[in-house]
Parts: sequence; C-alpha cells; structure tokens
Amino acid sequence: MKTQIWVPEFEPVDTSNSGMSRRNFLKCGMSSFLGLVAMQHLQSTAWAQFEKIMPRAKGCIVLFMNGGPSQLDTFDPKPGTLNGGPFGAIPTSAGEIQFSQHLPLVAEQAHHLAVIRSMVSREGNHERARYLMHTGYAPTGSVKHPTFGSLASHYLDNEDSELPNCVNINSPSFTAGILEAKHDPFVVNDPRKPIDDLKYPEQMDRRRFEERLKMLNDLEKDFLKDRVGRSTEAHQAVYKKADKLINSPSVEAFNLSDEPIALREAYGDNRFGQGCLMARRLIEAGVKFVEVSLDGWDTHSNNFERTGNLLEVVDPAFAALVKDLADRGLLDETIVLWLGEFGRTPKINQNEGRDHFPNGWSAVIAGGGVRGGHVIGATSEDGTAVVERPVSVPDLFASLCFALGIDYNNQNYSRQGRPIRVVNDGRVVKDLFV
Amino acid sequence: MIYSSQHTRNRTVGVWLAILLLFCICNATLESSIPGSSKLVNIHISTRLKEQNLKPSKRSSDAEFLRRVHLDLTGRIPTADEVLEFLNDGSKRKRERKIDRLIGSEAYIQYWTHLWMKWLVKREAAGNLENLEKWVEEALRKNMPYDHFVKALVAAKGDSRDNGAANYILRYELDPVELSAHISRLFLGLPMQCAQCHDHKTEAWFQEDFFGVAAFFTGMKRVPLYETTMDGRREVVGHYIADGTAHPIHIPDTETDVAPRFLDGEAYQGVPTLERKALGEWITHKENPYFAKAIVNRIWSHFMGRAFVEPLDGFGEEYPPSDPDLLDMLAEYFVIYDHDLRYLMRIILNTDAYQRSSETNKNNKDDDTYYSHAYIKPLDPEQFFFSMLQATGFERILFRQDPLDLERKKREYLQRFVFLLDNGENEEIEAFNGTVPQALMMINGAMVNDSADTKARGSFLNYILDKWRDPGDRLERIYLNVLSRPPNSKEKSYFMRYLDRSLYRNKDLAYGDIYWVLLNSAEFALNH
Repeated sequence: MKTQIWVPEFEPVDTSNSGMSRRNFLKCGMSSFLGLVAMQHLQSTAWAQFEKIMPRAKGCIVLFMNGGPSQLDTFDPKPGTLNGGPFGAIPTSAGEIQFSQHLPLVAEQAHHLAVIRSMVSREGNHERARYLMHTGYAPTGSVKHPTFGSLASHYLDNEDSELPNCVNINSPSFTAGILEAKHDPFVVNDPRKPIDDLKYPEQMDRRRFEERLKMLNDLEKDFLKDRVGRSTEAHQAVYKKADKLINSPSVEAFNLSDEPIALREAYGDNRFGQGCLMARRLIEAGVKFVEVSLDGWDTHSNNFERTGNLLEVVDPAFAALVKDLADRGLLDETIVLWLGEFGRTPKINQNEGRDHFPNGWSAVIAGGGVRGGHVIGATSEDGTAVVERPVSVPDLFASLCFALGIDYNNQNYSRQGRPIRVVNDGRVVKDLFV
Repeated sequence: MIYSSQHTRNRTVGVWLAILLLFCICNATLESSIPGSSKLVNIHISTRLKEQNLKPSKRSSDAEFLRRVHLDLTGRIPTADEVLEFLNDGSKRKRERKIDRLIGSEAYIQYWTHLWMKWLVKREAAGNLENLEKWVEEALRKNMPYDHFVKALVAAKGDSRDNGAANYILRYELDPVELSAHISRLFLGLPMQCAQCHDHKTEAWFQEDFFGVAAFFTGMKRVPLYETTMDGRREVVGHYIADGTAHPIHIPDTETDVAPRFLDGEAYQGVPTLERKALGEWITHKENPYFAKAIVNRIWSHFMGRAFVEPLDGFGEEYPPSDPDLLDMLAEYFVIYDHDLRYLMRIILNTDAYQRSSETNKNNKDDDTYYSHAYIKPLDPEQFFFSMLQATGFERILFRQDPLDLERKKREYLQRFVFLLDNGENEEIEAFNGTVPQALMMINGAMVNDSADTKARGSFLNYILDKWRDPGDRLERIYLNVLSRPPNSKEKSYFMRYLDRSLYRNKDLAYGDIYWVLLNSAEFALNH
C-alpha cells in the first residue's frame, strides 16, 4: 500500500457532497487521519471511482521504436485514403478499433490496450525528440534531465534489491543526469547472450574476492578521506552495486534459458523478442523500469517493406509480453508503453518513404491500471493533424507517474541549484484510467 | 594590443595591461619559462581565494602532477619509467619542461584528434570520417591557429577526399539547421538549438536570428563522385561540395522566411556564393564576444574539471560565468597570441591552480568554484582504455595471442569501453560516469584478471615478478605501473604483512591480489 497519494491534476468530479471535492480529498493523503475523516464524507460512487484509478503499477516497461514508427502503418490505420498506404486494417479484440494488418497478434490483445492516436510534440529531430521522449523535457543545454527509468529508480528505489532498478536492453537510452549515478540504466547489449563478467573468472573465487575487496577498502581509505565529491562517491556506489549483483541469486532474472521453449519462441527468436521476455523476468524479479529498444524505424525510403519487416518482429513480441504479463497476474501492476520518438508523415514521399512527423502520432499503453480496449484522441482523415484530445509528451509522463504513484511535482536540483520538476507542464490523461 | 584599445569599456583590461607590462619586465629578468600570463592568472585566483577566505590546497606532488598532465594531454597515464625519470629529475623547471614536451608530442596529437572528432561529429561513423580525422590530425600537428581551423570547417568545399574538412559538412548532410545549431554550440558556446523552436528566454535570440545563420548554408550543393570497381559496379567514393547562392530559409510553423544574416542582426550583403566564407570570418572575428571565450571555456574545463560557463554551450543562459574577469583575460591572451591553442594550454597548465593537489583541507573541501584545490575528473573512455592498456600491459597479451590481429582487437576493446563509459550525449565533465557493467568488467573481466594472473604469459605482473626478486622492488614496480607513483611506507608495510600472512602455497599470488586491487581503486579510475 502506498502511504501517500498526491493530487493528479484532474478536474474534480464530485463536488456535491459537503463541499469536499475529490481533489481535496486526495490532497489529504490516504493514510492520514484527515483522509479517513474525509472518506466518510464521500459518496460511495465517488469512492468507487477513486478506487478504480488508484495507482497500482509497481513497474514499467517501455518498448522504444528507435527512429520513429509510422502511426498510419501501425495503430492509426487509414486504408483506402490518399495517405493510407498499401496496408489494410484488421479488427481487434476491442470491438470497433482497428490496427494495421501486420499486427494480428497484438490485435488479439487490444482489450488490454489503450491507444493514444493524438500524440503531439514539437521535436522533429531524432536526437532532440529522443531526449524529450526519455526525459519529458526538450533539451535545454543547461540541465541534464534524468531519463524516465532513472526517475522511476530514484522514486521507487528498492534499496534491498540486488538487481539494478533501471535496465536498458539493446541500447543505452539516457543517463540519470542530475540524479545519483546509481540510478543510471544498467545496459544489456544483447539479451540472447549472458551478461558480461557477471561471474568470477577462473583465477578468483568468493574467498579471494573478499580478501581483495578488504585490501581495496583498507588501502583506499587515505585517498578517499580528503577527496570527497560526486566522482568518488559514485565510484564507491557503483562498486557496491556490482558486488551485490555478482553474489546475488537474483541475476537469474537475466537468464532466459529457464523459460519454456514455446514461450521463448512466442516472443520471437531475435534481440527484441528476447529482450521483451527478459523485461518480463526482470519486472517479475522486482526491477522497476525496463526499456527494450528496436532500431530501424527511420524509413525515409521504402517505408512499407521496412515497416512490414519490423512489425513481424514487434507483433509477436509485444503481444506475447502483454499476454504473458496478464497470464501471470502481473499486467495490473506493470505499465507497458509502446512508442517511438515521433511518428511519420502521412504524405508518402517519392522514395516510397515517410519522413519525421511530430504533429500527430500514436502511443500504446497497457496495464498498471490503464483501462484497456479504447482509443484516445484522433487524427484527421488525411492524418495530417490531431483533431481530438491532443496529448503532449509531458502529459504522457504525468500519466506514467500517476500510474506508478510518483508525485510529478517533486523537484530535484540541477548542479547549479535550480529546481527541476519531475514533469513540467503536464497533466494526467484522465481518460487512460477511467 | 590594437584590439584591446577597441575594448575600452572593459573595465579590467587597463589594469591587466599594466600588470602584463610590469610582468614582461620581470619575465625578462627572471628568465622563467612559465608564461607570464600564468602568473597573472595566479594573482587573480589567489585574490579571489582570499576574498572568499579559502585556503588553497598544497602543491601537488611530482607524481600527482605527472599523472594528471599525462592524462590531460596524451589521454593515458605515464609509464613506470617515465614516472621514475621525472621523480629523479632534480631540476627546478622540470614541470614546465614536461608540459612543453608533452604538448605537441605524438600521443598528444592522437588524443586530441580523438577529442576533436568527438566534439565535431560525436562518435558516429556516418560518412567518410577517416578523411576528416586525418584532416584534424594534420591541423593539430601543424598547430593550425584555431580561427583558421574553424574557418576551414565552416566554409569547407571541394572534393571530400582531398579536403577532409568537407566531411564535416557531409556529416550533417548539408542541413542548414543542423549545421548552424552545431556550429553555434561548438564554436560560440551558444545553445542556439533552443531558438530553433522558440524565442530564447533570457538572451535576445529569436528564432529569426537562428534561422538567419542557418540561411548561410542554404546555397551548398553536393555532387556524388563515382568510381568503377573491379567488377564493373559504380560506387560512391566521395562528394564534391560547391557553393551556389544562399537563399532565404523558412521558419517552420510560421509565415516567415529569413535571408542570411549574422547574429548581430546585420544582413549579408556580400557576393553570392561566398556566404559561408563570410560567416566563417564573422564567427572567428576577434571582436566576436563569444568565439574566443567559448574555446577558452572548453579547454579550461578539460584541464581544470570545472568550466566558467556550464554547460559548455550555456553562454548567454541565465547563469553568468563563474569568473567573468578571468574568462575575459584568458580569451584576450588567446586572441593576442594568434589563437594558438598550444599556448593557451601552456598558460593553463603552468598555473598554480592546475598544479594544486586534489587533496582538500578542512577549509576548502566544499569549494567547487574557486579552484582552491584540483577538482577530480572522471576518465573519458579513451583515457580509461589507454590507461588500462598502459597499466596492465594487456597489449602484450593480445600480441602474444595473435600479433596480426592486435589492432583489430584493440579497436574492439576500445568500442567496449566507449559502450560502457559513454552515455551518448556526454561531452562535458560530470561526475565519475562509470556504470555497473564497467565495474563488473574491472572486477571479473579478462583484461584485469589476465594481467593480474601470475601464470599468464606476457602479463605485466609476470614480467615484474621475473625481473625483480625483492618484495619491496616488486611492490614499487606494481604501484608505478598502475598508480604512477611509488607506494608510501604505510602501504609497503600493509602489503608486507599481507604477504606474510597469506596462506597461498605460491606467495606470488599475493602480488596478483595487489595488482587487481590497485586497478580497481578509485585512485586509478579517476583523474585527480
């Protein structure tokens, strides 16, 4: 049970009873006496609604489509229109919602998914958009914002865990920035291979390692005594984490060979598929944040062939992940997010490609208390503009924070002493949850 | 000097000129090889320390200095023999001489080529960057004046195989927005990329200013150059870059088009096709208030671990420089001495501030602004890798395994270091940026453990144990190899006790332990 619930910036729904809005109620905090008093004042319907949206996610998995996937060829299909391209659309398990024909397996899981078809941002450059998509901030130059996984690690930190709190699979994202170095992502280069150097080499065993470590601590004291500072502290912290990891049985979470062959195959025998499987194992073992990335989405030319090939990788992996989490009863406490740094232009260019498009693209979200089987927002008939419920990247971040029970108004301090909010200028997308 | 007279508004200049003059006289009589400017920097910094009631740390030991200056200039720690030679050198001016000898050395050129490539193109392999690398290397070897260097890049044209600088333009795919954003960040320290999307908050930069600079790059054309391969295919082997007339550029989401205009708002009125050349002249002009300061700030940060303006492209942001007078002063020297980067380095490296110990005292331990002690810097991936090679002798092990494969193996290992230590956007000094996988590599990895293996053929440890028999000598060699200093008496007696008490049947294994321990220490992993 979380001890404190902060106020998401919802509009109050129930202000009828004794002047106590839900907003005010939430402000009081779940565990406080005031909260209990206030609770009695609430109508039971309001309470039921509140309970429904109470943060319940404990961990988060992001499937990051590096390069920017085409929304029209995935989750916002417009077959038969000028910009629709050659892909057809298929029905899904969520009634009228349709996905691209290349997502048949994900379509079967659509009742778990909320599809945001109205993502908007102003960043059309890969580097800048990737930064925004990972930190919630456009790069300013003056502050290194922490990547979202590091924020999750910082706020949901499980000090006792031997595993890193934040893991990136396939490629590194960004760093912990202004947060402590121990929240930096732990990067797994290739999930199909064992993690490098996790075991003692043949020249060393536990006893010898401990002797060496003792000698290191003894000899290092003098050097460290008069050299306090971020670097020396970070060095110590990183070694402590590494030491804990080496000796931990929980590193088995990185080992996929225990998984049944059929399940491994269901995820897809490739880096991305196996990365998704590893993500599930890590979340199960208590890791707070896992990002699995898939490269190759920058389809300025030959978009349809390339996107089709990529979807052959994404479809089984994404579907298997959602289904697997649901089967294990983990989906309710794990938020899964699929997206790239932006979408792609509706207009098809002369090279059969689509270019960068931040003005209206799709993100898909599942689990962690998110209501499945519905669509949020919409783009116009030709796909060139958002016509309903625009969602900004900070809005999405605020929603993730809400689902994970992180107060996004919290502040951390930059090196210059400037307070930096977890999320700036974002509001929870209420429709995701109720 | 003429340049200074144009800056009469700058209140500090007159004072500094007077001191400089005084100093030239002193200098002539003392015949010191320390640049006079270093001494002026000393006076300035110690005045500030007094104002702040900060007590500076003591001067670094010779070994501490040597390790630091080697890492900063050549990207690797000194060899054991280099350390001994320096420690045994009794002459008074040995530090100045060491600095002069390292600046411009082959190792310096290699390391600074790495740094510049990282700054210019990050670590990406897009385009033919080998030619750019060769060009940078040549520029560093010749000590090309920095303003010439920048002008050559901004206006690079011609065959990318003959003119390596042209690959800089190709790297950004001739994109006016990308190029102007990068150029203003790197060469002017201005975070213009923000104005790319919105008007700047604090400084008077507007979107139009930014796009005005971008418009200078709208006239470029590139023509692919083909060669026919043996099997008759036509292959692109390079590009030819030429200048057409630059045209106005459209600001996205607005109704506005902007023609080429300089950052001070003046429109370009010169001859068509010479726009980039004119922009290069404008950027590097000695009256441009940002050009010299931006590079001084960057170089100072590299050596001192703390820049005047952070981040390096944070000029004109809400935070003023931490010491504007000193920044001005160094920028002026830099201009007076013809944009000579090596001279700038000599000034900085010969200051007391650079040569202080990183050990703090009670009074100055919290200072991270006034240079009262040397600030600890993390090693960048190249420094870490080349220092590891140096300290472990791993190169010898690889060589024994397969002499023909050595270079490929080295590159592969360096890639791994970059992957482990680098965070993609990293070009500024932050804290120690080691990661858990890096620590795992140091604890369990082959490079460390093979080198600390008494049985491994070709290992440094093996070599040391073969050559020296006395435990004290052996320990000293190990310390010199890894930490670039001899052990102190406390460390000696600690190890002798360890050796005595060790239960190993083969006592040599205890040397493997200390070797491993030193490689895993913070003292090795940091530039202190």
